[in-house]
Amino acid sequence: MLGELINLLIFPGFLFLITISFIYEWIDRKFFARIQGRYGPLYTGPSGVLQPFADFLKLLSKEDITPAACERTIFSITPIVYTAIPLIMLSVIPLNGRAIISFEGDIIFLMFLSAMVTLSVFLAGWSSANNFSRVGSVRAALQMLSYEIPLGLSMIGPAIVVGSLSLSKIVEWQIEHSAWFLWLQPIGFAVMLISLIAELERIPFDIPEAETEIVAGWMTEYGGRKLALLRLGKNLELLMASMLISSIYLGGGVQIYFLPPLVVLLIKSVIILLIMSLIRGIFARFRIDQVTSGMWSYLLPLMIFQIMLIQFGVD
Amino acid sequence: MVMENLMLPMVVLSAILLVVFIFLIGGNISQKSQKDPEKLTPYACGEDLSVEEARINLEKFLIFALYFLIFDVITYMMAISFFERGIIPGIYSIVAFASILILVLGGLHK
Repeated sequence: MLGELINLLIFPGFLFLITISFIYEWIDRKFFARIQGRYGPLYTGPSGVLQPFADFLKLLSKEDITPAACERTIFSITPIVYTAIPLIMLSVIPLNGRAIISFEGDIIFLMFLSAMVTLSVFLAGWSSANNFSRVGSVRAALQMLSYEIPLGLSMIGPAIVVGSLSLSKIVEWQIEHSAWFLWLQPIGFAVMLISLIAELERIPFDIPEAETEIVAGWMTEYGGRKLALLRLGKNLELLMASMLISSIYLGGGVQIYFLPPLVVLLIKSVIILLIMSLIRGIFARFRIDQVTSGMWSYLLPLMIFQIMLIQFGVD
Repeated sequence: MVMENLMLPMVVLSAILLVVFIFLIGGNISQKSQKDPEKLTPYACGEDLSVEEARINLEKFLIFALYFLIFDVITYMMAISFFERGIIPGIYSIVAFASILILVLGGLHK
């Protein structure tokens, strides 16, 4: 019982994940800055590694303003939901050899939670009673309608080969057969990476919070501790996405000689994170109609084609 | 087994409690706000956007929502019934592929 609690709350659990997510934000910011020829965070801690945490504390201690026109309850609850959901999703991923919760069908559970994240974004923008927020939240919902199905299918491709809808079983299958789904289903990997970037609202798809057009999109009215929680939720989502894709397509946490599974998983997910930062550095923002029509006319047919190949045993 | 059944609610509950805890810490260490009606107005930057300008194109939205609904059902059918690989699931995915091609070529952009 005590072991389970420590497992859940401290070591491969919540506190550890929150700490790691700050480090991931630092890696992302530093790498992005170096691509642009800037230095990035420098002064807080060794080469600025504590900067994200300092930002978080600063925001947490700022004055908390709820504008008068807001729906107060929904406006305050959505940051909490937005931060709690990625934590729940992370507990399904097998971090240190096994997951905290694992049952048949947890991939469906993950898809449900990832849709819930976007719904909380929509509620946050809608409850703000601000034109910028409303435009941002509608864009987030429209974007979800276009990336959700390719994302779901890209998780299902490996599940069909394994014959199970459990994330832990998919990782076990890859360890047993010593094969990565990246080589078996390369289209699925690419589609999943693109849809996850769209879900994270990172640069080629940061339409819901496009700073140059609609201030901060759905986050416009947020400040103080609520914005701090939204930033933390974003970091956790980034961590979750990179760990999810490295579990499904890159073999997940495997014991390699003396390296424990957690370290291997962290290395793989940092590689995914660097790919995402690189994409963030070299692309410009799409328009919302380009995203919807592009996802429906390229990503979805490609992904169904991949499933077709799997059905006929080409993998 | 009992433990495994309890694990999911426990994870959900502890995640929410942890986040609420951080939220409350923020409430304690933050500066107390002074009442100021100017502060409580919605953010606007120089322009007065009327309701007309911010209107959403609901028609396009609903069309995409409908497509989404149909293909979501197809996705979940693929997920739960296709562990047997072979000719029948293959034909099903060919039909899905053909329908998305018809949808795309038949003017999704318009």
